[in-house]
Amino acid sequence: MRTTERIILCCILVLLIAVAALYTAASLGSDRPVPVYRVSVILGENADNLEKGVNSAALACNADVHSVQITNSTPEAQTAALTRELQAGADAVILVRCDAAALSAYLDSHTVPVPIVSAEAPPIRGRNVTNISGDSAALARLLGESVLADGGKGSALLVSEDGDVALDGREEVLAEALSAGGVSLTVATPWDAISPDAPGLLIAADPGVAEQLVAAAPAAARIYCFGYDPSLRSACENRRIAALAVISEFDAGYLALQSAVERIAGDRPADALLLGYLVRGDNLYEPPVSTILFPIE
Amino acid sequence: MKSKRLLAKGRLFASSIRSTVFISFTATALLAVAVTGLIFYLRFSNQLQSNIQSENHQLVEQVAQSLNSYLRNMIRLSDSVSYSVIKNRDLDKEPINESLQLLYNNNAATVERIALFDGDGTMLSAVPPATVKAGAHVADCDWFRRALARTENLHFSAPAVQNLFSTSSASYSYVLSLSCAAELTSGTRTRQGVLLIALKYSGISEMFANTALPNGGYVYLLDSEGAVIYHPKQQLLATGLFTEPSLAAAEWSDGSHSLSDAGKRYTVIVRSVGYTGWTAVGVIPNRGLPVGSGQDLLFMFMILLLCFGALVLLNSAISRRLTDPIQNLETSVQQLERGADGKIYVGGSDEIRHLGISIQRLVDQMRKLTDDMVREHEAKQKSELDALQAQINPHFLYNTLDIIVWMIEKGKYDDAVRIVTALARLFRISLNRGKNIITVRDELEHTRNYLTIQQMRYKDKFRFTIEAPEALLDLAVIKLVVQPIVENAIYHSMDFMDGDGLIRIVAEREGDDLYIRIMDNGIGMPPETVAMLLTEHVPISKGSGVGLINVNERIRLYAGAEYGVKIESELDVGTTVTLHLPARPAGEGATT
Repeated sequence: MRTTERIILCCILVLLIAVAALYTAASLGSDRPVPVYRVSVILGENADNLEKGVNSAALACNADVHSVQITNSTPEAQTAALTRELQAGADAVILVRCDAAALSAYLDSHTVPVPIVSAEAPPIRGRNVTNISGDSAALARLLGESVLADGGKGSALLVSEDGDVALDGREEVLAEALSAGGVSLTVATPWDAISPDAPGLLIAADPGVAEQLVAAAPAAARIYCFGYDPSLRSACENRRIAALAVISEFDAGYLALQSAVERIAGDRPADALLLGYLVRGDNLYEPPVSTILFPIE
Repeated sequence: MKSKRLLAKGRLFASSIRSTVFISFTATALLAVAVTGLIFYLRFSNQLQSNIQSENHQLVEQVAQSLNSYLRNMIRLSDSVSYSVIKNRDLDKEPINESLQLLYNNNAATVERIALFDGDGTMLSAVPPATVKAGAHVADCDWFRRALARTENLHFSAPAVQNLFSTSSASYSYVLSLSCAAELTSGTRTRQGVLLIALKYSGISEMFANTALPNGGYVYLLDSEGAVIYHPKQQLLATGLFTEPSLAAAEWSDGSHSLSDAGKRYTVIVRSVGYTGWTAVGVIPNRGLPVGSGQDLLFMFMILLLCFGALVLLNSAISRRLTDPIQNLETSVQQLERGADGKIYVGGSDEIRHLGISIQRLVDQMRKLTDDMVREHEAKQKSELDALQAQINPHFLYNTLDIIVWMIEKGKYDDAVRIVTALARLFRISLNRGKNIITVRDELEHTRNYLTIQQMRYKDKFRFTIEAPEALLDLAVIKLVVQPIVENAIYHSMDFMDGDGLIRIVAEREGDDLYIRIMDNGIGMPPETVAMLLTEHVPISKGSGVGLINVNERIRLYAGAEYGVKIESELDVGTTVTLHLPARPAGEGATT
């Protein structure tokens, strides 16, 4: 065999070995089981729609979701649940409506090795944290505009269980929106709101407060609310509640899990700010509101 | 290092026949393998693509057929309710709840509720039992209005949250409404009512959700107006978190379509669903189709490389088989060039073998020619030597000198002068400055001198005449070709004559040929002796020893095979020896 022939055969042999190696690597890669990510979701009450979103995303992202329901959603209970899930070996943890301050403190004092996703809570800063939250300002503006559209006049109360705690700046935006229609805004407790001297415009800071207002506020009072709870459906349907400013909790759950899986895979998804929708008695069963309130499973 | 040197010397792809054959074959093989591979790849790729598409079509078709079947069942249920339960039944006297319940029970898996409404929207009956929500305006519902507007048709609505009936729990459900006009009978009075069959959305969603297309593809359902009835990401679609690129498919014809959206390509399979005008749409992302996967390409490349390697080995063997005989032939020719006495290689294919045989023949002929040339050269040298010997035959010289002495002693000075003169001329011409070709004049003069000497030696036992036209005297002739013949005539014929011997020498020209005939009237020779004279060396007892064969060979060497000596002889009559030569002027072909 001559040199030319030897060189050509050597080249073919080298190429063949290289291709065979690549093919073997590709075959091994294709035989490798698809990774299943174990994601823990720490939920508070009334998070059914968000959980549906999480489960829907889990199917698409091949994640194994472990839901932890906290009945008494205190900051301590949340951080305790977080610790338990981290110790249990979760690849990522999603915290729903957590106490932002408490979680921030926890993250500052603990080394958390896995991605954390905070859903439906004020944004939390952290190297390994993704926030999926509604646009509070937009929601406040939306609700303020709806109050004015309904002919709201005089003064309004922004009713919060804890006074101005956890309003997340909504009161300023709301006050500004209402002031455009000459309506003044005062932050108050539910107790203040149900007094006979209370103004006729009541804006509940969360569904829990709204339930109290529906039950105890004067019948003439027009109640508005941030957020949605199934228990508020009939109140909204019979116009006891004038309007609800909501985000799609399903989307929040979906994006939360998607972000968690992306974080696990090494990506750095950006924080997501969800759009707000206004729910009224007459559009309760109309898309897209109907699909937001009653997610299709 | 060696390769570098070879490259530097330009010998890596040297133009040897083997390299040329190998490289040509290899290049052809490479091209063939590449083209074949490409053709096979495209062919199988298309085939596989087509199969996948066909399977996808079948999947979408199956979903569409399942949906059709489901809808037919619902239509049958509607017909059953309309014709078996409601029609011709006096609703005032005959309650229909039991019959409705029976039909509902049979279809409970897919039916949420069956309800019958009066033309004004008042609910007449419902199974499972339910009440219309306070504030609900049935007559304003789209399904109700459509049923009364087109009484001959069945109407399917898009899925919606069920909000018509009061429910005890906070749960909700999505339903599709199947409505149609129903003829209600009360006593003798008939009126239009509306039958509502609320279909469970899960009946449809499960049908679609369980159908998975390759590469994360999915099937969804559009109504006739392009609204989504089912989509696996319907929830995300509603809030814009997901955008379906093929929503326009409701207006597309049935079949396969290509779609490009946001840099991604999709295959969209459209299949309309009979009665409803709905459209089942299959969406398959084109990326990562099985035939285009890196693994398949690597495998195919590996097979092609193996084929190519095998072809290279085969090419090597073929080129060796083809070129080895040529190389062997070349080697044997080179050895021949170097002077080796080996045989030429004969082998390989017919053409190479034939070439070897031809070269061998050529070599043989060359060797024969060389041998002939050597032999001729030797013969020439010998004949020239013989001729030289004839010039200085010591015996002839001794006899002649002896006669001269005798003549002087006897006082025959004139004769002595004459013979000495003849001898001197004889030697002058014999020497003739070493020339081999002389004129006819000189040759005949030489012969005349010789005959003069011999005539005196033989005491005039014979006479001689020399006849040659003046025109022939300047023609060329080989030196000393006549004298040996004359010498033979003297020794073998005139020796026996008693004064009446005659030797005639006649030179004649016929065309381009010169004939010199030496005729004697001696005793002649029998034919067998004549035949022997030019073929065998006859021992010569007398004279110069230069025989007829010598003369004949010299003439043929000088002039060619068609020239030479011819002998005609008859016993007791005489002999004629004819020298046949070309008639060339003395200046031409004269050699030394």
